Amino acid sequence: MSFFEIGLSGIALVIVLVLMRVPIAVALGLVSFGGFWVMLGSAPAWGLLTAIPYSFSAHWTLSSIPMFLLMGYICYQTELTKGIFRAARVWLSWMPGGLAVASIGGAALFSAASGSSLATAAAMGRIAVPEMLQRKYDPGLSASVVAAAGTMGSLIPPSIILIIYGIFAEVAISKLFLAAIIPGLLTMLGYTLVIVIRCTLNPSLAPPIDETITARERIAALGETWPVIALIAGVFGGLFTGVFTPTEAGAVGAALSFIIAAARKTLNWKVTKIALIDTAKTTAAIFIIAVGANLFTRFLAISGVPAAMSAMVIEMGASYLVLVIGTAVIFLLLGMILDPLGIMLLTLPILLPIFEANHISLIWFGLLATKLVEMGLITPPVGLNVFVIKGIVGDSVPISAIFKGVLWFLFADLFVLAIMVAFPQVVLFLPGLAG
Amino acid sequence: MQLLMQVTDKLSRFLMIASIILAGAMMLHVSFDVLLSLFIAEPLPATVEIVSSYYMVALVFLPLAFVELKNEHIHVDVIHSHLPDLGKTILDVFALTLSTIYLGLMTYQTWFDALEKFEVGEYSMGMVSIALWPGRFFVPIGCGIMTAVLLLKLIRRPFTNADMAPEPSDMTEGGID
Repeated sequence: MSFFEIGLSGIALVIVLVLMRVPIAVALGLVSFGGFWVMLGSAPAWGLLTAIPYSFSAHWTLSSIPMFLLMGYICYQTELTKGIFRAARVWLSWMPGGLAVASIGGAALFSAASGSSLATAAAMGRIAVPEMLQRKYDPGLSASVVAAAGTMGSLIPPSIILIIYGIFAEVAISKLFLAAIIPGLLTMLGYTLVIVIRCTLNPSLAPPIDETITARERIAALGETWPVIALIAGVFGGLFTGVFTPTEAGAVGAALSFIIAAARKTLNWKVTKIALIDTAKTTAAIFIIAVGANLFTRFLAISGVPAAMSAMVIEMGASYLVLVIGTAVIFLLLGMILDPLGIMLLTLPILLPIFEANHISLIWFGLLATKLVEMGLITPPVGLNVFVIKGIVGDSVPISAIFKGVLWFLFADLFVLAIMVAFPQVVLFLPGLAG
Repeated sequence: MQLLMQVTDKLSRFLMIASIILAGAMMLHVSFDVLLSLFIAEPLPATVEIVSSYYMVALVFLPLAFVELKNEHIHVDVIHSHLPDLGKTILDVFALTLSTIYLGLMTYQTWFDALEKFEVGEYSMGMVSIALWPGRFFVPIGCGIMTAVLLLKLIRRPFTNADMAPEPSDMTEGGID
């Protein structure tokens, strides 16, 4: 077998193993190890397995991942976010589907304090869904709006997915964060429009709330949002003024969230322990896959598959649009069975060289990829965000109703994607300003 | 068998506790470093080296066994969940065998690597030189205990599926996205 054939067999083997329920980390690592052995002999294979696990993890830049995770978990566990929804509610409830719009606004704000979509969906779902159901909102709408809004968690910075992408693509993480702001806002706007249009056409989806809110109440509600505003201002203020680096921002943010929670007297040993355990578990589970993906990247590079594929794509004269649509199809198919991180780490070793060879901005591609994997979070059959919300609502909303409700938001996502593809400036404008 | 399971269980939990303490320590360490460089323009020595070679390595490898114990390593269920019990057993045995081999190989290799770094006394070359070799041992320790957990599961799997069920957990627990 030629190296190229070994590379292709390696890709096929990983997919088969993953489908057979072999952990993704093991499938990637073992296939790469075997592949190296077959191509170059035993010594390089052993050498790789010795060096990579340590050298990949002993990494200063990656230390922001556990720290941003900790920040999000602390916010979630100490209910730092409770005030957000209440404030969004008194300010936005006049709109058609006001509570649903408020869930979107609340989730967008929470996303700026959390790097994870599941945590965002869970945090908002716990507060917003019961209230919507109580107000006789359509159950499918109530549950699906929060499942969709949660996907902003990985889009609006900070974002674990973007940090991992930045490491693999060798792109500055601060630029990725800046690039994510406009697509994040567009997503928020898109989701809001979906709700307003649907609820205007069919008011029975969201019975208007009959209550008058005084100006005083509005101001008071804003006061309740200070914990999150302070946290976000601290993290992004320091980050973009250069007081600390994106790597340090995670630790500072986590420490800030502890201080704020302590000031609000919601911090105790129990929630601290849960947040720390979740942080450690998630870190280990993410990194062991990333180690496998790093091995796989090296294995594929030696096999020459990515180079051959990018040559092929260039020779075919594949246009920008064909490339993007091809990527979208692959991601959406993988999104049916894999979680966002798995999709990213499986495909980046092949896709990055192709996009790079075609002179497409890797910052822009990072945002495209993130948006696509996040859509995978709300598409069946494996829509993790939908499962999170299902866990909250229990038997009161059937899962099919949530997936059906989510469809509307996927239309908005497609629209945002189209804007990102047609006008790459919406992504590249802000990082461009930073030089 | 029971005793072995209890021992690995205890060890996994012990490593988990060590990693959560280190996670907290890392947060404090980096935050202090930022504060010090902001106010007295004098950061703590060797923060980058300590974070990368100690905290990060520990946080990645020490919780591995505990995550395995809770069945929270990421895998795909699409086919598995539609199979009859016998099919599930076969796939689980297959996956556990491969996992044991992979983690076992990694433990073996990184152990000798750690010993080698210990013998030469690996240290950092920065302004302040600190010993780096101790962090190397986190890799074989974490992978080793996970291998033990996997091996015990593999041996029991043909007879029971008791080890395979994920624990009912908080919504965000183990959430990767």
